[in-house]
Amino acid sequence: MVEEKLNNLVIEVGKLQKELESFKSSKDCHIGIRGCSAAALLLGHAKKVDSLIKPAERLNDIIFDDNDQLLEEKIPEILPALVMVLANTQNVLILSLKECLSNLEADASKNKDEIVQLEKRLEDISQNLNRLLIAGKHGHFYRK
Amino acid sequence: MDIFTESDFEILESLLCKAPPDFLKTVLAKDSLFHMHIPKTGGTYIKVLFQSLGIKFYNPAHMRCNANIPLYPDPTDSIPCDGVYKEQEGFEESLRFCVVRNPFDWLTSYYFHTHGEEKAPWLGVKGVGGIRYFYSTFEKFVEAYCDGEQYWNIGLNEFRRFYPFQIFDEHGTCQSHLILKNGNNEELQSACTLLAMSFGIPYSSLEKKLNTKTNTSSAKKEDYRKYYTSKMIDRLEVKWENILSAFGYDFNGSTDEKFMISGKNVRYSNRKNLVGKKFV
Repeated sequence: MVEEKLNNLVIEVGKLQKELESFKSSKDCHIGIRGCSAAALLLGHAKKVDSLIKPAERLNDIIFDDNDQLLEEKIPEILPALVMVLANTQNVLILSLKECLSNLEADASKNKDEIVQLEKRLEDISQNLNRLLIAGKHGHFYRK
Repeated sequence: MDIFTESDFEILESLLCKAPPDFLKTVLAKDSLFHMHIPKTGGTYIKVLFQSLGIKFYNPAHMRCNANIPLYPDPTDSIPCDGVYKEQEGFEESLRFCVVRNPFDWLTSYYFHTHGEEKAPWLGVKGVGGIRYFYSTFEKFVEAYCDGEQYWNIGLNEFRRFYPFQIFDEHGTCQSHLILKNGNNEELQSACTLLAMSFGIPYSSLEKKLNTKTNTSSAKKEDYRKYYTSKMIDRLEVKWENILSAFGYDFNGSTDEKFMISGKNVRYSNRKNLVGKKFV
C-alpha cells in the first residue's frame, strides 16, 4: 500500500516536471506569485537541499517589491532560473522518495516504528506535493 | 494520505471564489496554522479537526493581542489565563486565523455555555458560565449585554463591548490573516475545507471529519433564532450595526456568499469602538 502510494507520487512528480517544462518552453507564459516559496515548501522534507534554499529566497526577493507586490517585468529575466529551482526541487523530491522506498523495503519486516515514521514522512511529502500542485494550477504559475 | 485528484481541484476551485482574492498567495507562503480562539465561535471544532489532519497546528488558550485590554479569567471555563498571542509559539511564522461567528448565534452559545460556576457570588463570577447564572433568563442576559450599566465581570467586559476584540492589537491592526465566518455549520465547514485543502489535505481525508460535533451545548436545544424576541433583535441590531456590517451578517446568517475575510481589510478602533476599513 505504501509502496503503491510512493509510486503514485513519483508519477505525479513526473507530470509536474512536464508541466514545468511546458511553461519553460512557452513564450507567453509567466511564472510568479511565490513560485519559489512553493518549491521551498518541499525543502523541509527533503535532504541535500541546502543549495536550493538560498536561490529560492533570492528569487523571491527579485520577484516581489517591498510591499510584496509582484514585479511582473522581472519575471522574464528570472524565468529560466525559477524553472531550474523548481525542477531541481522535483529531482530532490524524487531522490527523497526513492530513499524512502528503499528504507521501507529494507526495514519493513524489522521495525514497526520506522514504518510509522516513513508513513508519516510519506504523508508530509504528499501534503507538500499537493500544495505544489495547487500552486501550479492556481496563480503560482500563470499564463497571461 | 493521497495526492490530489481532479475532483479535489474541482472542489478547491468551487470554494476559492468565496475566499479573499489573495487567499492562495497568503496561505501557500506558510506551512503552519495558528488559531486565535475567540470563545464560542466554533473553536473546539476547529481544534479537533485540524489536530487530526497532520498539519502543524498551534492552538493556544483564549488570549488577546492588545495587552492593554483586561481579559480574565478564561472567558468561558473559569480557568485563569494570561498572556498575549504574539508571545506564543508559532505566532510569527504561522498563518493566523480565527472564526467570527454571527453575533446573534454567538450570543446564545455564550449564554448557554455550561462550564461556569453555578450560583457564583457577586464578586466571584468567573467565566461566562457564571454570568449566565447571574442572569436567569436569556432575555435578562441580553438586556445586561446591551446595557453597559448592568453588572458584567470587568475581565470579560470587552466581549460585551466588541466581542471579536482579541484579534486586534493596540494599533487596531488585525493580527489574524484570515477570518473564517460562521453563519451556520455549512459555512464554517466550507471555510475549513478550503483551508485544510490548501495545506495539501485531500477531500477524501477530510470529508468524514468535517461533520464531527464537538462541544455542543446540552442546554441550547433550539435554533438560535428561537431564543430571540423582536425587541431583543431590534436592540442588538443597533448595538451590533457596525460588527454586522463589517463581517457580513444579519439576524438570519451571512449576507453574502463569502465565508472568509482577509484580516488586511479589517481594522478596529478600541477608543471609538468601531470596526471597518476606515477607522483608527
